[in-house]
Amino acid sequence: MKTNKSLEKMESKEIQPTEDRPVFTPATDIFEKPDAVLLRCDMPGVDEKSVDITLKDHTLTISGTQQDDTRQGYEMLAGEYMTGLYRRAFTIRQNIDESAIKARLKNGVLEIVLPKAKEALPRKITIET
Amino acid sequence: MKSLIPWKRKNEELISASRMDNPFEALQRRMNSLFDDFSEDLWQPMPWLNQASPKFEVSESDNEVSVKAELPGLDEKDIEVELQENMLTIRGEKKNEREEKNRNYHLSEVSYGQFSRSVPLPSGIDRDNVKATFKKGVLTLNIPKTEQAAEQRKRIEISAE
Repeated sequence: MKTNKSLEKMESKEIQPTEDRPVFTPATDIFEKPDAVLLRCDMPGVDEKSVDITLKDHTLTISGTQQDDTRQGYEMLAGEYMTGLYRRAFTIRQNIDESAIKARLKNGVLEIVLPKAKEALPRKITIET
Repeated sequence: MKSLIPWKRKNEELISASRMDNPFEALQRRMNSLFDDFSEDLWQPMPWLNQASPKFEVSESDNEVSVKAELPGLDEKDIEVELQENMLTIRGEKKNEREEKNRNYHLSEVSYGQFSRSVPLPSGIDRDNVKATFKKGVLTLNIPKTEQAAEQRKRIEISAE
């Protein structure tokens, strides 16, 4: 049976946890404007103090920690999500003006504006007469 | 063709919530639903990316019921909470803020649009003192139980022999 084979395959993979809390990949929108690249990541429950954004060698890494909100004396009736960490890395091909990167966290959405470096901006060339 | 698949376990989702505390069962169920997703994949591409429907968490203590929902990207003005009898309904719309034309998308995973979800609550709740807060994209509702209901909950001592 094909199903069992793929199950065995999954089980045989050695997956070792590197964190003591679950790690999630945030759903992300990336779009490009003429002068900047915009990133928007859904990170509900994350405090801005815990957000870490680094850009190194064209790799943008973002991470954020959700507050652990387990409370004493509460019995879970239905749980559809868990709290943990958000982490994701992206490769940014454009040349980015690193000093002008802006980020803000609002209503659980992290928005990062990566302005393009001057040399990467489209240039209009006028023909000399 | 779907009916030919014998290991379709759609109904399990209904009882899944109550079994969440056992990690092994949770894992097994996750595996099952993984295959469900694969088979559904043929009809509906990438169903797990649809996050317009928010994720809920319902918990209960001796004197209150707590409902949480992950609603990233919404403003408190976009959310509507309604309590009818014991049915709690949360409605909202996730708006795509910057509607610009000719946007050049590299990645688009976030779902936008309207949603509506209803959660049945246990009886004996104090409807007039519901507290709702929205913080960091998470909606929290604290619904106190009526004194009567809190009293009715009785712990039974187990004696060892």
